[in-house]
Amino acid sequence: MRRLSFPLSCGICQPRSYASHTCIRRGNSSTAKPGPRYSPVPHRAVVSITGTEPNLSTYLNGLLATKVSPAEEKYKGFYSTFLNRYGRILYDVFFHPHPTEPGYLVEFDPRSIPRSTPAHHHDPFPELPVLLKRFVLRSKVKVKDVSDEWRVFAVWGGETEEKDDRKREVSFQEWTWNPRSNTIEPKWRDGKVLDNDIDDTVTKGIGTGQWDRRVFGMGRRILWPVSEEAVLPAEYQFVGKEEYNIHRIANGVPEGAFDNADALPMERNIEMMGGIDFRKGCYVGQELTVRTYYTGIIRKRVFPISLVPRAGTSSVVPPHASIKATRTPKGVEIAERFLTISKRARARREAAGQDSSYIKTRGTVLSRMGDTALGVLRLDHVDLYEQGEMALSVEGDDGDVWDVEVKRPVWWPKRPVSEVGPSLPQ
Amino acid sequence: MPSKETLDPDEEIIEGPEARFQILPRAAEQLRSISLRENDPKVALRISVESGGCHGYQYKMELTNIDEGAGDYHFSSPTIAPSNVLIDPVSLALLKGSTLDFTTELIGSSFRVTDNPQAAGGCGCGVSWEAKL
Repeated sequence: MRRLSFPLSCGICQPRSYASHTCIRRGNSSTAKPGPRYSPVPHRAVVSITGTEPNLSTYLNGLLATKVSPAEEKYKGFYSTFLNRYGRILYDVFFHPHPTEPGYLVEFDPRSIPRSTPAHHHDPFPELPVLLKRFVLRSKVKVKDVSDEWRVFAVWGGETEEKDDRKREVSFQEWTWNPRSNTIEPKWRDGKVLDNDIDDTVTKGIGTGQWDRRVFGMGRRILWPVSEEAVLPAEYQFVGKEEYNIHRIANGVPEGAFDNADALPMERNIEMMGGIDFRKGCYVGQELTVRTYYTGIIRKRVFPISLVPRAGTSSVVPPHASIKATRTPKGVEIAERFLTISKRARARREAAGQDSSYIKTRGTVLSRMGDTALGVLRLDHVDLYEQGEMALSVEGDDGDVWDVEVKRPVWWPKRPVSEVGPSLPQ
Repeated sequence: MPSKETLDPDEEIIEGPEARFQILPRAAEQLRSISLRENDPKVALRISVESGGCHGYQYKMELTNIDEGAGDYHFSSPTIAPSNVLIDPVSLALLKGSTLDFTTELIGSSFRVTDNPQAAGGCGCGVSWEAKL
């Protein structure tokens, strides 16, 4: 049996170690193991979608970016995405089996975030319950906003969670690369995707939930009725929602409107986390997504990053700050294509003693907790950064600067040598 | 027009100038010729809107009988008869003000819904469309 190999030491400590970093693979700090804990998940709303089969799966298949099989004996939980017709993310969601009715409880981020893409790339941002109701028409499906009835919790770091991770390591076979477009999907042994059912002894028939299988180490999601106290075994410590965010960011998981709204799903690692199926039939946004899969190319992805303030920096990183890439002294050979300005303009700037090393595209800082954050970065920039030829930084007001350190997770897929496709665009 | 009794509680009756649906003469002619061919003046074309396709909504058309149309809106051409079109109340909310055409193309002839004031963009294959909000 082939198993994934994980180094004993924390792999991301090298080569660019930073004092208080968090180990990506285990989801715990290298200095102290936080142990089993659970916390509320911030910015969550819940909508119930109920109905009998095959109505419900037919209805959902027209809207979701993953395939929904008609439920046989019981409904199964899963992670998925609603896209708009331009193939951009509206909502990244968890479908949990409804504890009492046939159907699902769907958790999503209801916030509406100001968006940066041009107006012709999006329509007015519909609230999820409104969007869902609009497509019910004559289907025998009921949609109801039940946000005030449910609370969403994340549970991680316990023995049960580690056991599930091991189960998943065995089940995971490899990453499937599309060498043409750079899309990456997990491939499961014998094509069998592990089901996400959690033990009923935890939810006791009043709650619901599932294993969060977006990446290794995320643990469980549990929905608990507002009227009931959430009860977990005594060894689980209740912590604030900030802890969940730190856990999620360290594991490289973008989630909710602030990270994902209006983005292309592959630029948010959604297909790596199982939220896109490139082989299913028509759904809203499929045209663009599948075109990208076959003829496009993915240039950017989300990485966990550290923001290290330079001396004198006192403010906080502005939301959605852009990440600037510059040549390092070692990076003088970086191809012309990365540089914003022409050769002549650069010579002029150099003669005048000005900075001449601007790089074309910028990245973006997403969710941030203290000095750890998620960043959308160009893959070729990350390669050059790891070779020491490019430096990444964020500029704030009043000349504040943070150096960006990329923490490539240990589980991050490595492109097989046999499948090296075309190099990134010139 | 459907009676109040046949409606579901969350459906609305669309009345007056709102409940408009245009049938082009060549579409009405085609409906009449189907009716003559079938030797049945009660033949009707049912048009409905379903969710699906890459832009969210798609049209569905099927031949039926006007006796099957309890609770539906019944449209017909004022000059060419019989030319029956049935639309259910849920679909009419997304179809009102549209036009029924019959187009003849190299790859085949078909009824088509055109100029739908509720529709925004459509997908590449022309099957599905998105509603304006």
